[in-house]
Amino acid sequence: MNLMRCERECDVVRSARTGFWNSDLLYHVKECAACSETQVIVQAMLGEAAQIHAEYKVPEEGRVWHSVRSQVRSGIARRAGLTFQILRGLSIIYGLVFLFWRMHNSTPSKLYLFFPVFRSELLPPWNGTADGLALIGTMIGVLCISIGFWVLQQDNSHRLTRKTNR
Amino acid sequence: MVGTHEITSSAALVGGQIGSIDEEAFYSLYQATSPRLFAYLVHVSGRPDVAADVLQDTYCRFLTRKTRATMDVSQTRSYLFRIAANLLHDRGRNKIDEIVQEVPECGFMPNMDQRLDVRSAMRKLKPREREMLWLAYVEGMSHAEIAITMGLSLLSIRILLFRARKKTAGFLKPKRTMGESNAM
Repeated sequence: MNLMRCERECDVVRSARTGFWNSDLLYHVKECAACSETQVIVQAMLGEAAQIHAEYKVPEEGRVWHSVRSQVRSGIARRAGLTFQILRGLSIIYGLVFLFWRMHNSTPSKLYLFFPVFRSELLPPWNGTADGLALIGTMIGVLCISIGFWVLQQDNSHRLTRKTNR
Repeated sequence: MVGTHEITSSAALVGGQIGSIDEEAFYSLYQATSPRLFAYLVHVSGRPDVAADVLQDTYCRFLTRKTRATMDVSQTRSYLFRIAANLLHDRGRNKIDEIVQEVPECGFMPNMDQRLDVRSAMRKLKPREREMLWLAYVEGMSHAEIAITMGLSLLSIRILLFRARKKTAGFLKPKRTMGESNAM
C-alpha cells in the first residue's frame, strides 16, 4: 500500500459490489485504513444508487427514440436548408445575369438607359445562337426545379401517410 | 441488474447499422444502458428533469457518431458516460440550469438517516468528484476507464479519486460515529 491507494482496493470495490467477501480480504479491510474507507463509501454509494433506481423512472424508450429521431431529422433539415439557401442565392444571381443579358441582347440595347457605356458598341449583343442556348438552359432549369418539387411532394405525402397510420 | 449478454447483443445490433437508425436495436441498447446512465446523471446533476434531458441528448449524439459501429461493449458504455459527462459540463458552463443538489422527498425507509447522510455528503463534493466516485464505486470502472471517460490522465484520476475518497469519508465519519455512540 502507498499513501494514495491500496493495491487491493479494486478487490474491495468488486467484493462490495457483488457481496462476495473472502476471509483474507475481510481481514485486510479491518487492517487497512484506505480499504475500510473505500468499503464504507462503496456501500453507501450502492445504497444511493439503489435508492435512485427505486425513486426515479428512466424515460420511456419510445419517447426517447422519437425525440432522437426528430433531433436527427431537424439536423438534416438544417443542413439541407443551408444548401437550399445557397442555391436560392445562386438562382437570384442567375436571374439578374439573365435579365442583364436579355436587356443587352434586345435591339437596340436598353442598357444605355441605366449605363451610358452601352450606347457604344463596346459590348456587342449576342446573336441568335446564344439566344437559343439560353432558352435551352432555362428549360433545363425549369425541368430540374419541377423534378425537385415533385420529389419533395412525394416525401411529404409519404410522411403524412406514415403519421396517419400510427 | 443488466446482463452482459444483453449489452453485447444490443451493441452488436447497433454496431451493425451504420448510417441508419434501427428502432429495435436502439431499444435493446437503451434497455441495457439507460438505467445506469440515468442514475449517474441524477446523482451528478441532482435533478431528474436535467438527467432526462441529458440522457436523450446523449443517445442522440451517440447514434449520430459513425465511430459507434466499431465499438465493443465496454467502449460503448464508456463512450455513453463520456458523452453524458461532457453534456453535463457544457450545461454547467453555459449555465443552462443550475446544478441543484436538493435532497428529494421520499417515503419512509429503514435506513433513511444513512441515505440522507450520503446525499448530504455528496452535496458537499464537486460535480467532478461525484462523477469520479460514481464511476469507480458504482460502475466499477478501472482507473484507466475513468481516465478515458472523463478525459483526464491516469495520474490525475488517482490523485483526484484519493482526494474525493478522503473528503467523502470525512463527511460520512462524524455522523456515523455519533450515530454509533447514540446506539450504544
